[in-house]
Amino acid sequence: MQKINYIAVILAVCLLGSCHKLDLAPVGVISDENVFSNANAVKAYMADIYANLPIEDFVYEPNQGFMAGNGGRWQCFYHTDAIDGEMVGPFGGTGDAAQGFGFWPYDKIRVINVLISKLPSYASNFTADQVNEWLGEAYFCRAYTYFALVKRYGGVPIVRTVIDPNASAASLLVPRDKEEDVYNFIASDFDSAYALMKDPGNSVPQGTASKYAAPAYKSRAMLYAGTIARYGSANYVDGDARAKGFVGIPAADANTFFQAAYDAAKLVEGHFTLYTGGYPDKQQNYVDLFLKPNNEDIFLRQYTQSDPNTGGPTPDNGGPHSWDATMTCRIMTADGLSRAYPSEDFVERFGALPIVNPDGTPTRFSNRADLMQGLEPRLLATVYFPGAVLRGIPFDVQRGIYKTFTGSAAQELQNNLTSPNDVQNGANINLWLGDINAVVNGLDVIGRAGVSTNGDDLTRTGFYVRKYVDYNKAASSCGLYQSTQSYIDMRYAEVLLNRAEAAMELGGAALADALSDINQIRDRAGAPPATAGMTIDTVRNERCKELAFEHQYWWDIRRWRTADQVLNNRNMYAMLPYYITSENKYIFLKQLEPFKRTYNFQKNWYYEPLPGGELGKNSHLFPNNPGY
Amino acid sequence: MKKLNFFGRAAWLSAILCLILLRPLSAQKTEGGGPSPFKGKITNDKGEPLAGASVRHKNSNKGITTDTYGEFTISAKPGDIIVISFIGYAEVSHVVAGGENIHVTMKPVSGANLNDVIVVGYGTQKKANVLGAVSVVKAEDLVVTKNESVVNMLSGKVPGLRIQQMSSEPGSFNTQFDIRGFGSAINDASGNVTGNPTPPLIIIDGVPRGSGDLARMDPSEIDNVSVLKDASAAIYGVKAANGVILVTTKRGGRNANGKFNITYSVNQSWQQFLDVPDPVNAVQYMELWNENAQRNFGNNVTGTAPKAYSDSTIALYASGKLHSTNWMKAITRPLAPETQHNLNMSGGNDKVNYFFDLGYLTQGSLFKTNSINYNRWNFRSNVNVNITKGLRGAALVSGYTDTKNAPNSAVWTIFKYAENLVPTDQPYANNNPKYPSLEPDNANPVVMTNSDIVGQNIYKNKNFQGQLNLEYDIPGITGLMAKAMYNYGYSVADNTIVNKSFNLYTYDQGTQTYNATLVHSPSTVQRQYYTNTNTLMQLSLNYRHQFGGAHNVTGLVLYEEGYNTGDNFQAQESFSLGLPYLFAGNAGDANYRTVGQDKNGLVNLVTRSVVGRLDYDYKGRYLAEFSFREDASSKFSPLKRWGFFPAGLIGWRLSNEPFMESLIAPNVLTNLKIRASYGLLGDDQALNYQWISGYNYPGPGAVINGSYVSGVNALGVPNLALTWMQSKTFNAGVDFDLFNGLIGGSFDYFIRKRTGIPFFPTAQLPGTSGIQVSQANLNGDKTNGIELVLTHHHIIRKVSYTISGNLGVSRIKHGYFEETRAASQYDQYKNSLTDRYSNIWWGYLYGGQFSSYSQIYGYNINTGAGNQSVVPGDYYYQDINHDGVIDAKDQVPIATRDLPIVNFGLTLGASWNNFDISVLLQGATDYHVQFAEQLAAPLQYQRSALIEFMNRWHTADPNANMFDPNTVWVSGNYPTTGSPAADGSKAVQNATYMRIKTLEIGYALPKKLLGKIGIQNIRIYINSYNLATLTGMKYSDPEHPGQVNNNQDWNISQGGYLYPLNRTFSAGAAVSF
Repeated sequence: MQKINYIAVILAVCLLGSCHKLDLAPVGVISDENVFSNANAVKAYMADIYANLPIEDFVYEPNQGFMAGNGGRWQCFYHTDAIDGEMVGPFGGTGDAAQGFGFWPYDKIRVINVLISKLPSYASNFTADQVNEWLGEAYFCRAYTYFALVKRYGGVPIVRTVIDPNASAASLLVPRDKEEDVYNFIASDFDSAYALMKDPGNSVPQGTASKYAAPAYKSRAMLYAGTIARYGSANYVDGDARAKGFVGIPAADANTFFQAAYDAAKLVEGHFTLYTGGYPDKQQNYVDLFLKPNNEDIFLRQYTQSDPNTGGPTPDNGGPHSWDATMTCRIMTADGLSRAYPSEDFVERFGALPIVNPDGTPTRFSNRADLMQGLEPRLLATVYFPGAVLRGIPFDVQRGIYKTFTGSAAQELQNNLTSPNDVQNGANINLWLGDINAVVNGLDVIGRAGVSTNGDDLTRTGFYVRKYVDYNKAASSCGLYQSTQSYIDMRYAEVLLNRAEAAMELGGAALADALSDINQIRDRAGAPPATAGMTIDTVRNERCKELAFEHQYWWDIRRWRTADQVLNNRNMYAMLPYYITSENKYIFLKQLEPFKRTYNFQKNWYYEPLPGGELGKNSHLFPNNPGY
Repeated sequence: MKKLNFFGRAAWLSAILCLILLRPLSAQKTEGGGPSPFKGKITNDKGEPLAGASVRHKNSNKGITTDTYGEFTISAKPGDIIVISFIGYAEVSHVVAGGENIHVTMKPVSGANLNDVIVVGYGTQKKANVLGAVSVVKAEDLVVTKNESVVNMLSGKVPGLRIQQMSSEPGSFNTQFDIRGFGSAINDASGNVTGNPTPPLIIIDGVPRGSGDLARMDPSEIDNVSVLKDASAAIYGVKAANGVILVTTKRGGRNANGKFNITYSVNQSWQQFLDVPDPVNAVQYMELWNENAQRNFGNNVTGTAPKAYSDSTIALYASGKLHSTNWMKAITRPLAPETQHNLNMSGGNDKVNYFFDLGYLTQGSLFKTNSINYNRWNFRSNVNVNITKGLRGAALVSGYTDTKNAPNSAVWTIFKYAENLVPTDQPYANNNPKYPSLEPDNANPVVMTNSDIVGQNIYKNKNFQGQLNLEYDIPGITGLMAKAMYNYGYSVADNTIVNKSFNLYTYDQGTQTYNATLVHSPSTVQRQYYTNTNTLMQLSLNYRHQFGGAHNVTGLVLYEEGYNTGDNFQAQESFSLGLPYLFAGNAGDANYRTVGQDKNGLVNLVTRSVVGRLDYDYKGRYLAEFSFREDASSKFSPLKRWGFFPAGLIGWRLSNEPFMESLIAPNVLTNLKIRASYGLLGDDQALNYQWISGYNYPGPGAVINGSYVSGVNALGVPNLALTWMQSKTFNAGVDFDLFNGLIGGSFDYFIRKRTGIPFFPTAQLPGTSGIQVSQANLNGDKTNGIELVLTHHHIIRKVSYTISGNLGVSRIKHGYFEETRAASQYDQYKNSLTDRYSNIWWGYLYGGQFSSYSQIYGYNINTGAGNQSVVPGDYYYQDINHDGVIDAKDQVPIATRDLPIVNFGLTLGASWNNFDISVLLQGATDYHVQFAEQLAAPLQYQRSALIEFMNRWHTADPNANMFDPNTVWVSGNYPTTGSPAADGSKAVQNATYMRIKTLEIGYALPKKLLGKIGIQNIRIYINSYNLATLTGMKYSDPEHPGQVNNNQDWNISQGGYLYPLNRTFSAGAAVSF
């Protein structure tokens, strides 16, 4: 009997522990209805859309793409403008990135299409304004994404609806649309966004689109379409795709697009202003424009140190970036290294630097920083010159030491480049060059901030990027993944530049408007005003100066169809300081940047090749772009 | 354990079967005329009871078998002759005197182990009767190898068990293993091979556990390990497709007087590190650097660049005026200690017997600071109780707790920087040890290995298992037993991750000041806490009986239910007071405050299974086995919730056939068995609730108005039909023993076809649909191979020795593979995977090294840039397609990659008087490795190099122009610095190796001496692990992984910077009281 008791007790225990049902769902799954019937859930849905919006932000790499979740997220120096010569450094040349990275974000477009198609049927859960606002944002994001596609590939398939996964295989093979049609589609989506969203007044939301962001971006897109129509007709690689209109826009339509760009830009007027909060110091004002929230910002991507998805299994774009750590040099930061440096060629857009006397001898400066005197405030706010100071530490940029220096800069450039980096046999030579540890007669041969020719973690051009660098942060907080300043993807200055360029292209009555737009920019920059005789090149050059290192120049020289001339076997220049011991003076020599990268642009790169895998899956995508 | 599992093997039959067969059962009881019951007990020479031995009347041939305790009762009258036989033992005849109880000790016939009890799925079988491909490692064979990981101790001992130890980092247990190549990694959405292969199912005392648990067992608590490689694993159903490793722990012995044995053992090891890379010194570095600068055309330098280091600078280091730094030597030490202690007690009587084990392990690292170190406690208490007659219980309680300490620096980065920092830099600014110097990436290895500076990470695991077993012999039906088991398992991982900010310094000679730079700021502390609870319940009916003295039947039906919950959370704070506790967080700084939960660690899972098995044999000649399992899991879609996994095994023991016995004498052909198995097995590891639709929350989000908003992410289009992979396994084998075990062996051939490997059908779905698809059961593969075991056991005079060799070969081939339509025939050839062998390494075929400019000028194949930048010593490759250009189209399959195709092991053991020696040779072939990063080329990241790269082509005069055709060159292994690194078949190296995995020499102190001081046994030994390795591979251990496939998880090799493997020298002793 006792036996039975034992068994009964033990069986009872076993069975009690075993009343588990097989219907157990995983944790953290939300149903369709829950997503579209709750305001916070829709906001979360929108957050997902914004998280994936293809913004060419601090961590975007032109050969790798949008670096959400990628380990390369710290490498801010793989910057688009390092393939077009505004900067030199990490890339071997333009070709490293000119053919893109197989961008094909239709999964993200689907997410947007789902919202556009489903939200209206749940509209009763919300106010009409709220629904319209969300729909407007969705149209904005869809147009934004298609613009990111069209500027790379030309015409791509336009998918407006949510494709049924059970659709027939044939209907899944969506054909390519013409480039012009894609631009028109983008225009109409931005128009829808503008129409649906309400005027935010003074409270512009940060990190999401608002009503006037739509025409701002429309002005950019239409300007692209207009220039492609006008200049793409003259400079192109012929091919089947061009004949069918998948790439290229008829020249006749140029003015229509320019007019659309102009009109859209004009719509934005009055809702945003150029930042002048830091006046009267125009240099400081321009520096702060990129660091302080202000009414010039139209659309931003924001970052936070406490993003829970940083480094986790599903990291996103909201985590900190590394701009501060990877744009200036190690002595002012806590980690990282820089590899991309503004070229002398870029700096000369603001005019030649006064480093050579009329007689050809190098100008002597008692102090490196003296070179900066009289330069345009905007230039000094965009680029750190030798002698500039960050976090209390000067950029003591120096390439070497001369015992004595005689003769002209040009003659010296013939000679000194072949001298050995020898500091020990100093007695017999006039120019000391060396590495970072080299000391001669108690003097550092090169500065702690460069110039280095051994590695690429110190400047090779004499300059460092200043735009966006947060001078308020302590050096110890400037490590990798410690920067959270917002990326400004659209600011009012660009809208003015879009407007000016469209006006110049339209000509006639609009020319006066172009001049006034440009002079607003120039005034804020601390530059002398342009005059009535200005040309399209004046406008373009102004754009390059104002929007430097903002991922614009690359797309600009492509749409202007000038890239193949600008980057034709091109070497970039550096401006390197030397110290002359006999005179206790500094000189600057303009010489080829030490790594001597060569930049070339092939004409077929005006369009990227369609992703090979997609061509394999969908024969209707053919023909591929010309030259591929 | 042997006893218990014997009951586990007791038969179950369906009711109908019972009814039919009960009649002969009752008939048997009426045997003999006027005889009296006669009792006996049968043990082997070690005193262990022999269960299942045959006891029969010589005349009538009628008889019975012994029970689990080796006991029997048979009716006999005086004068009857009783014959007692057991496979592998010499037959014993006994003349009944009447009224006596006898104790028979049977002597084994030399070497034969056919009577060994083998643990198989949910039971045990005699080795002679095993029909599956099952390999066993016994405790004494396991512990010969001394290592901190039980997995490493299995290496080379089991044919078909492929084991690759990747690293000997304390506490990392980084060893990859699989059975017959099963469980190879599958592909993810983008076609990338994901992560590591899935290890086999591991069952410890009947409970599914993780491979980490197996690695962390105390070897002294293990009685035996069975490896089920074929359809014999099918009884484990949906998780068994990759084979099953069954571990059985020790049970208490039964001593006549209830005496217990206490054994204490200690093993002291010294670890020595294999192939720690050796960096160049400053002079060598500058030489290479200058060479590289001259050689390097990569940056379009329009003339040769100036020398970075002048002769006079080099002379400063050569003369010793300036010191060069060997960063590797600065942080490593040649020897590191490792100690194991173990105490166990075992004993018992008729009522109770028990086994108690306590183990401790501590392992240090090769860092001078010993900042990586590991310690572990294991404990186990196994108690078996005879509660009342016919009712037995067992309580198994075990656990471990371990701690790994490590500095807050990724180990691979420590090695990376120790290998690549330039030797002209110094560890300390101005050589002042108070000021660690600033190095690139803030990576100063001297600091990185110092937990006091960078902060210490502490990883703790705790695991508890409690199991209750109950067995009840159901009265009325002989051989029918009911059994219940309940296991409760609980584990905790508790991690503390402390990041400390610290200063690095540069020294300014001009002003004689130290410039500090604060890095790793702010200091943070992170705590991670994971818990997991598993319960498992089994209820079973077991039946075992012999009918008519010839028909042996065992059966089992079992119901199993498992419940698994997992939870976790983590929190991080920055701290300012220097106290690494969450409570001492810096309240003002919310930037670095995170609170989170790993959703993948949230588990809530129920499984249910019904298992059945029926074994039958006729006189041990014709054997058959059928098993099935019906599995269900809450992880599966309701449409595919239950899966049925049947298996059938058959065998024929030819050696037991009378005609064979007449043909070949049984003492020549002791055993010959042919067997075959076929079964269906499942693999559910890839199923991740892809049948559920909806949205994931919280997912990646965006910062909006300054605060982070988590996103919701669509889960994709659900696939309700998605189900587990199916593996159909066929195995055919033969086992033989000759001359009573003098020579034995087995041979197996297997094919496993796997279908329904989950894969994303995106390969053919245009991206424009934007559809995020779930996986579907699309792909297939096929694995086949052979295994061979040969053993030889002999005693010559006083020397007894054993030789045992094993060999396993396994190859995997893709079946159908969902892929995008090839763009061209070439694309098809190069990239298609369908019906191709997997793990193929593509690359160029090495041609040779250019030896002179005249050869280069005469070379009419363009190796790139018209050969303009080629210098003597550069490699060239074969122009396979004869188009005059070396490009990607010249790549061909050159080798197999990842785990070795062929693995082998050879065990040699001998004893003479009180001495014993064991040697285990282990190796692999058809195995290739490619070096990564620093081992592949010098001056990686424009930093330093390893010493082997000094053996390179270079100009005899370092100042000579290397582009001048008249320059005199000195040849070497490698091309000149700055030339392209080895590629293709030059880079991929044959890593075939054979190593002395284990060497042990022991000596048992004479018993006469010990008896006086109350000690039963003392054995002392010396031992070595990885004593020597025979391989053609240089500069790295063949098991240490190099470059992984582009698509593979980078962490498998971590760029080749994994902590190295070790060799150990040990001395130890075991004392039994």
